[in-house]
Amino acid sequence: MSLVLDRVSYSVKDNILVSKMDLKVSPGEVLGIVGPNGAGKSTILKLLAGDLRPLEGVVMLEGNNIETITPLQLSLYRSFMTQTAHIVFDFTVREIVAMGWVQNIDAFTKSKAIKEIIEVCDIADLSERRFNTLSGGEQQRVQFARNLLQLWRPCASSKPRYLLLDEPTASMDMRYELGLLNHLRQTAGHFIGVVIVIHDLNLAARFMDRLILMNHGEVIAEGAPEVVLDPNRLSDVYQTPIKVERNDLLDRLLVHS
Amino acid sequence: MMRAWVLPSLIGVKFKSGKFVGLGVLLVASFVAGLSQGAVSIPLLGLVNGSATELEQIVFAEIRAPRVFLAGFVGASLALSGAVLQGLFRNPLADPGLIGVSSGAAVGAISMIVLGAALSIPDWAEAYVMPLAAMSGAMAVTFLLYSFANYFGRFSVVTILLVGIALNAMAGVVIGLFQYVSDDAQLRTLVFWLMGSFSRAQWASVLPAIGVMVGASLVLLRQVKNLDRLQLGESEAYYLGVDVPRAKRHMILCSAAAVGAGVSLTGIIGFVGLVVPHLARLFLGSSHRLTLAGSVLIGASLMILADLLARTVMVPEELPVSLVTNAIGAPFFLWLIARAARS
Repeated sequence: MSLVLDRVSYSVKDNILVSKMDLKVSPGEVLGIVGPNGAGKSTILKLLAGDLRPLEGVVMLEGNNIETITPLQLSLYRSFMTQTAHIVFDFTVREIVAMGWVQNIDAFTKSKAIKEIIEVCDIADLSERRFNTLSGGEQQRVQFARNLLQLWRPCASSKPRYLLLDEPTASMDMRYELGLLNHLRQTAGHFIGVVIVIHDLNLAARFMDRLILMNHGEVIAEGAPEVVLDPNRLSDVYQTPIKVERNDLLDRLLVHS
Repeated sequence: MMRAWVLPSLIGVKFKSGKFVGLGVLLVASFVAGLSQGAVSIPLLGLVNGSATELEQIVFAEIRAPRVFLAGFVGASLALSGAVLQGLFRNPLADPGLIGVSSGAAVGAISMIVLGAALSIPDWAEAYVMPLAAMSGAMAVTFLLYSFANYFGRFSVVTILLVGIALNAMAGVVIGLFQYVSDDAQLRTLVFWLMGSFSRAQWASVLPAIGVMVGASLVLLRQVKNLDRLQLGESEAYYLGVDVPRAKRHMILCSAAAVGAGVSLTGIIGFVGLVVPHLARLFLGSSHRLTLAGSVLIGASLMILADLLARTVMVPEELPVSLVTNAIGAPFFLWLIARAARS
């Protein structure tokens, strides 16, 4: 059970975005993708989501080539929180969240699920407001709720699911950023594989089970945060001096320049 | 499909269904007013209990009823197509008339008026050739618009209007050419097209057109969830399970078919597809389940009332109904632009 990139390459014209990439995501783990701007992180997510078709190699979901799965079937297995959020018409927050409902189950279960998700995500006070009037961080909290609803199941499910997130906390304040990352850890516990593109290496070190460091469309390092976040390697990839030290009081890695 | 009509909160259900009952009453009242009022006023009860004169019966069955039904269905189709195009292009100013879809349909229909004689079309097919030509014209323009949009990424509010101006101008050239080469009789028919009117409604041509409009509208109404999800972006709609190319194809083909079938009988009637969806959104909400259903009800009611006004305001003369819709729609359009400019 896994979502796999198998020797996947992708390029636009002569610009190679991803080169012969191997990657495996399993349900229950939180995988962070880090790397400088333009490293190919978002492209990886779009390939995993089935939105971009690899030019070489294959994307496999539960042993099936993702290109052979219908959009409807795929929507039951993975959701993708992207960075864009501009919406032309006036929808309420509740309506936006409800768009995440993809299952063919009765309306009562649906409204129960929406209520539960709105409470869990702490957006009850926003739920009747117009989405367009929210701040960037609030909009991200709502989009996160919509993605959680897409993967919500009425009872403990053993069907693997995958949640992809592209800088989900970019506009959030610290409180909600930590809240979302804590939430991801819980989400992973429901047999969901989480892949997140994140820039903050301290948070990456603290919340991720596994990290992939990318540069120029290639994997530079992969493994536990302590292994990947090597100061020499980071300084090289980000082309700026970076220090990494272990803080025993906090029991975590600290990355700083 | 039914499940989609149940709202999550019970209060919401009561609130919204009350408004829908109101719109239903408005539609029935429009029908009654449209059927009974006119140059000859007809007692509807008299038709039922047999006290109506023969003249009244003939006027009702052969002139009044087909006209009012055509107005209702054309109004509903234009409004629904407008709402779908606005959703598809994610653009509040999309309207079949403004962006050139209606002009495309008119070019198709007019080419048949002028060139039809040379094509020696059999009599039985004549009633169908014009709607088909109009629908093809509407589809050609919609596809052109869409491939433009795909090529340049998402259409901005302004770009789509500018492309609409260009397409309308191109259609104007073709229409002008046809006007130039047509004879007197053809010219009279042509002018009727450009004005937009329900005065030529006859059952023989109205019924097939209504069939097309109903069929296309049913497909469009099934797109409510897809339209909602498209508002998040095309990729996001795909992540939520929408087969985006297929949904777009259905929306483009069916909105063009609905507009084309109407235009082939009535000519160009402007602004209904722009104004009505906005009224529906203001009144009911932006969720397409509400917007689309509301557009159908409001579009049919308003068109019947506009036609009633057009044919009663200066009896025995008749105004083209497009004068009425333009008189209401143009200021509304200005208001929309002002609102868009402010935000």
